[in-house]
Amino acid sequence: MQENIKDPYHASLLHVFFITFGLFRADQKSAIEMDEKGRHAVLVSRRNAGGENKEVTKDAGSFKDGLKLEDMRVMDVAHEPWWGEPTVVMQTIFPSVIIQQQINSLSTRQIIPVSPGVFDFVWTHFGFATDDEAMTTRRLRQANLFGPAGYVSGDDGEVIEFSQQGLSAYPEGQCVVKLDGDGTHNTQHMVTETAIRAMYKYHRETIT
Amino acid sequence: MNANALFLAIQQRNADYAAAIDSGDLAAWVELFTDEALYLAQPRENADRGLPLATIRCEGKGMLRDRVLAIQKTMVFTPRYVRHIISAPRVSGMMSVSNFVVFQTLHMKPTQILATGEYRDEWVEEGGELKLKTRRAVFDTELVPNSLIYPL
Repeated sequence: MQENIKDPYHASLLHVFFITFGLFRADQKSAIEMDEKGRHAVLVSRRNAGGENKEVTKDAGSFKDGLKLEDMRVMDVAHEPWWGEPTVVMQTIFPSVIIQQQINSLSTRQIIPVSPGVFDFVWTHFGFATDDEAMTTRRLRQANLFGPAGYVSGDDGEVIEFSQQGLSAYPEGQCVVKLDGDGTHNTQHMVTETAIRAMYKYHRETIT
Repeated sequence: MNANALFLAIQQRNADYAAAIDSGDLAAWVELFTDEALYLAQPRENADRGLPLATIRCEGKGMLRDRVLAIQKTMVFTPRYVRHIISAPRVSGMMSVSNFVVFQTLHMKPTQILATGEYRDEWVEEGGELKLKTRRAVFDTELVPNSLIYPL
């Protein structure tokens, strides 16, 4: 699940809801920044019509033209001063915590290992004590995008399960992720798995 | 409607509700609600503590139809059967509470319990038909087996 958040490119390929409704595209102005050891990362991006990095996303095909929400209140975004310019900030804190802001939806996800290959995933949504009723309602509506029934994160649990089942057939095999080369550097775009490689580099240096 | 007739009418609507979701006729599921209805699938932990967050929240038919659109057009998930078993209602005025169990069956896997819980409902009569004004599906099963695709 840390890999899920450290792999921003999948969002454009997988999450039809994200890309169709303009919330998240790999060609948005964005950055991936890590701590000096590559353990923790933050993916920062700004919602827009996309296009600033068009060349690297021209083949991303999950956009479905013609889909419209009947009730746009789920996507009623109100800018909050503390955001600054970004509209999405996904922090992965090694080894087991994710703190996310995606438009007005704020949540933490905690990974609790159960046994080899099995973990529990605890979502906690939050707001601020100073939120007015309209903001609380907005956050509750936007929560439809996340959690186990989320328009976006529902996809992740399902696809990670497919992947785990697929990989389990080859226990002796190794999986190498080499989109955007094999570096572990910060980037100014999201078409990269640099943060995954950096985490495993740290993991191997420290644990094995 | 007298009390017996109402009891039977709620039973009938709950049977229609189960049939709509379990057969995949989600458009029929939407039509069981009023235009301004509130549908929540909410963990019991939140309901008991008076916390408002729901796993699925639909305010009105537009959001219900958007949920159907997402299930049918945008969400990526393993095909599955779901099966709703709904108990007789405990009726009080136009409110009722019914227990539910939802089973889930993935291809070539044993059937599992997806969720148990209770529907906390408010009904209204519209054009001679009973409709859901509010359905809060409060589920005990806080540890959802991976994902919740179809409504409870």
